[in-house]
Amino acid sequence: MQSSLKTSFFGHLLIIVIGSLSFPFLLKKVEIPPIISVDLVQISDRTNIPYAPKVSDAAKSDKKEKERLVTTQAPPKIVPKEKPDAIPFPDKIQQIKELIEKKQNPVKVEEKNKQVSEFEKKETFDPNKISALIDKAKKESEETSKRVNLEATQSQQKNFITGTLTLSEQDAIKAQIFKCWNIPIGLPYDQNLRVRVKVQVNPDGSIISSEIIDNGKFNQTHHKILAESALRAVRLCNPLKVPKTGYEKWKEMILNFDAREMLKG
Amino acid sequence: MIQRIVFVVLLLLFQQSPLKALVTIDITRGNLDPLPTAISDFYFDDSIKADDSIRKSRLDMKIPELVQNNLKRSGLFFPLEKKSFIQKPELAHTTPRFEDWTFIKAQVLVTGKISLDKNQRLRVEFRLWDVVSAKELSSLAFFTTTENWRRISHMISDKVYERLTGETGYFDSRIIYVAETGPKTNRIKRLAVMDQDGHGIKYLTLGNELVLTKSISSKY
Repeated sequence: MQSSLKTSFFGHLLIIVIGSLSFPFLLKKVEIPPIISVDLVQISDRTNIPYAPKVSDAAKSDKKEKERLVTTQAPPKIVPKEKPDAIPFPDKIQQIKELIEKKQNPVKVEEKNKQVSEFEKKETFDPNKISALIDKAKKESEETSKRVNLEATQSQQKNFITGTLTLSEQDAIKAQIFKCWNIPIGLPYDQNLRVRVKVQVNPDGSIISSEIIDNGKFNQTHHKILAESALRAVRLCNPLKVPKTGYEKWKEMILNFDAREMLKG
Repeated sequence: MIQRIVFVVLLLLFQQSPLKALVTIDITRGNLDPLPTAISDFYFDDSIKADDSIRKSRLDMKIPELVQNNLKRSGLFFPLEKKSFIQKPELAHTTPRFEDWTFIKAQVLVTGKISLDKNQRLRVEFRLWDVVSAKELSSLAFFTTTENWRRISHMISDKVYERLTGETGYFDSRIIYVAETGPKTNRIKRLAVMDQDGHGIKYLTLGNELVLTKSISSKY
């Protein structure tokens, strides 16, 4: 009994020791993403958005003509549209480039002599890198879309569990009903002026049904008038502008109409 | 074992499904714009068609016009232009096509019918409709003589006002005042009564007694 206990104890101890010593070596190293340095640049230094005032067509054309006379700058290059699945070979690209140059720039400006800002230099088009650029763009878009999807589902799940709308979503619905609700002004404001309306909504925002929840108080004329105005408000607002996502959350809502705040002033 | 079962049962009982928690939105504000109201012309019943004097009185237009003026003056109603009405008064009074009225942005509709009863009394019937909810809010009929049509119009205005604002109407009330006429040297002061809209002035004194205040015995 004792010997078997001992062997078991030592056996286990051995496994633990081996595990603690050897397993960390088997693990892959955590890859640290490459550090991207970011420079802060003043936008006004880099961009020069031309001011385009609205003028009549005649004036515009006139101006254009003038500009054509005055301008000495070469017209911008036209970059041929490339399909991502049909990337031309470098020699083809060279041909295209030559063609474009022939068409666009009858007088070729020497690359060295051309005065180009630093910003423009970076933007210069290198056809050999097209494939690389496209690949990168693809990867990036995939990553971002994945992230967005993940975030969306997470937030949806979260809201789904709590069953609430975000503040902005609530405000959007509120604002619509504020406009539709014509408050009966003659109601005595010192009384309980509250009506709850249960609203069922279609995914497109159209209202399926609207009903007063606490019907018990309906015998009071004031309450009746208020309830009618609330129902009228809901029906006037049909169809509601509703959030695009999370139908489960807002397919049934309770609207709490309270006139006291308005009537007390 | 029993304890466990009880525990599980309790857990199931008290477990609240997150889906059942409905979204509650507080609506604490509304607009105080005048209520868009359509006051359709009333129409004469067959019983009146033979009676020329009533037909010529055009009460079918006068009564709704007075109601409209009353409601407009209260500031809480915005009577819509009659030209925009699509449905005829006869049809609107019996079975209004609510789409026609919502189309012109009306929220409530007033319709009416004028007829004569067996004793040749004028019977003015009106109905108040909630156009948006497509239902009737109230309907009443008044009996009177033809001369009393203003009073009836005020009463109808009161009922409409009361039903929609929750406040008692004031249109069927009269104002008592001291009417002064004549030059400064020979001023005649008379006690007088008029409707709240300034019509139907009645002088209660002849002007030969001194009238200082507008107090009046309830006997009058």
